[in-house]
Amino acid sequence: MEVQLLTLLQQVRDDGDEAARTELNQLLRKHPEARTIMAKLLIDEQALISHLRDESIVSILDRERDTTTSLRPSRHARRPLIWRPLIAGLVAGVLAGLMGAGMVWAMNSTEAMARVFNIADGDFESSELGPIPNRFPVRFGEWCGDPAEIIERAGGNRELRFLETANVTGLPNGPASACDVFQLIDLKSLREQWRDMAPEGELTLNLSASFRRDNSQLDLPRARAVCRISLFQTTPETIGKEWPHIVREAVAVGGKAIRLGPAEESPRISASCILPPEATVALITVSVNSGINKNTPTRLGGYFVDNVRLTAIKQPTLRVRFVQ
Amino acid sequence: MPNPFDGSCFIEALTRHLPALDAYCHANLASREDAREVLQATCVKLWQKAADWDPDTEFLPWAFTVARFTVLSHYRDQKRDRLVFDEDVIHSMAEDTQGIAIAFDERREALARCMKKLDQKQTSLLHDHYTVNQSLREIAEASGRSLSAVKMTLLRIRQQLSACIERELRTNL
Repeated sequence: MEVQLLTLLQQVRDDGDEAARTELNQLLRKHPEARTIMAKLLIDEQALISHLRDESIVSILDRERDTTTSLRPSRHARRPLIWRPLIAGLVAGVLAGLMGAGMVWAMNSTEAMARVFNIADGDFESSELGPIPNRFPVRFGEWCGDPAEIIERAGGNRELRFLETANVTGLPNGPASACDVFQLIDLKSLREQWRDMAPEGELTLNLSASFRRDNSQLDLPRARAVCRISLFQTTPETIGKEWPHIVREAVAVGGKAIRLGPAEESPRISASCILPPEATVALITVSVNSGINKNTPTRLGGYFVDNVRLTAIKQPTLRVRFVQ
Repeated sequence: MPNPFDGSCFIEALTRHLPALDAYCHANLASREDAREVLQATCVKLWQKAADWDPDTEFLPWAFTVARFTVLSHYRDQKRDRLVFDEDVIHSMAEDTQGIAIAFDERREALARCMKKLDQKQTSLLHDHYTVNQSLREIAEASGRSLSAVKMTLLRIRQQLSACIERELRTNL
């Protein structure tokens, strides 16, 4: 009943759906328990709004206090990277000053910007619970790979769980030390998104993901969390067919690996590479690597990943002016 | 002889119970804008009728009655299709709404405890939707997720919070 009421309410308020409005009112007329649930939902919604508003005010006050007492940057992640040229200029200025060369000015360019690009279900919230397809992806926007599954934690948050190491292609000498999960990204669509707003400048792609190790599982093998982005000038189907040998043909690669030991917190790692003009497809990989290359799979179970995000960053050439 | 009107006592009661009154208006109208408008009109009416209130009696039941009439008056002023509930539904929900809104402070405290159990991603979605007032479509576009996925996530969080609030209230009885 609660789900039905919430869904109808959402349809009436967000879409102005008149049929949903009629159904909602009928339901409330007929069922006394629906009226109680609806009253609770709306009172709690107001409690939520009031709580969030208070939290928001506290956070603004905290930020203002931080700004007045230190030079720490804002905690907002998504914003134009206007500080980079300034910092570069300051560093260059200090170096130049030390060498007695004169003064350096960094021209603050508002054209430097970052934009989060769509990864299909990067937070796994709209994926079905259960195993992901155990194969290499053949089209854009699907999570596929070695044995892994989407799980829902007690709080309702969904994430990807790495189950065991495997060799997704089944090739006799293919890599089998890791549990790799892939997604193919259409770079043409990414470029189109940027063309209008930022026609010039070099694009850097940054892939980031949050990994987690379940430290309550005492027999969990040590492993490395890996995040990798490889760019190709080919079609998605070709990558699937020729994996893993096609790795050598990548036009750009970025990767980052860290060890996830029992004492580690849940780290967020990222890997970057510059987007060359000829690249048409990006292959993103999140994986857990046991480092043990053997025929029998290593059970991983207690390693998870969430919030996989691809950010495109445009960095204009830094204009630096020397003044003697 | 009637008690002389004590303005400070009235202001104190109104200030203390304003959040519950706001919640009551919201529960009757299911819309932030309408609730804000009705709350404002209710406060004006309460001030005009302040001398009628006996400080020895509960403030909220009296204030809810004034608010209910203001809600109905607002309903008649608006075009029917602008509002979520029909007039007869507002009438039939009145008792439930009042009974639950009276315990608004306890529910809000329970909610604050439940919010600590949410992760960053969930809190951020709630913040964008309820504080920044972003529509679900705007959130979906900004995050690169489908609209249905965002709707589903919000629905799940709301369910989770409802269940948690009820649990918290039972535990703290």
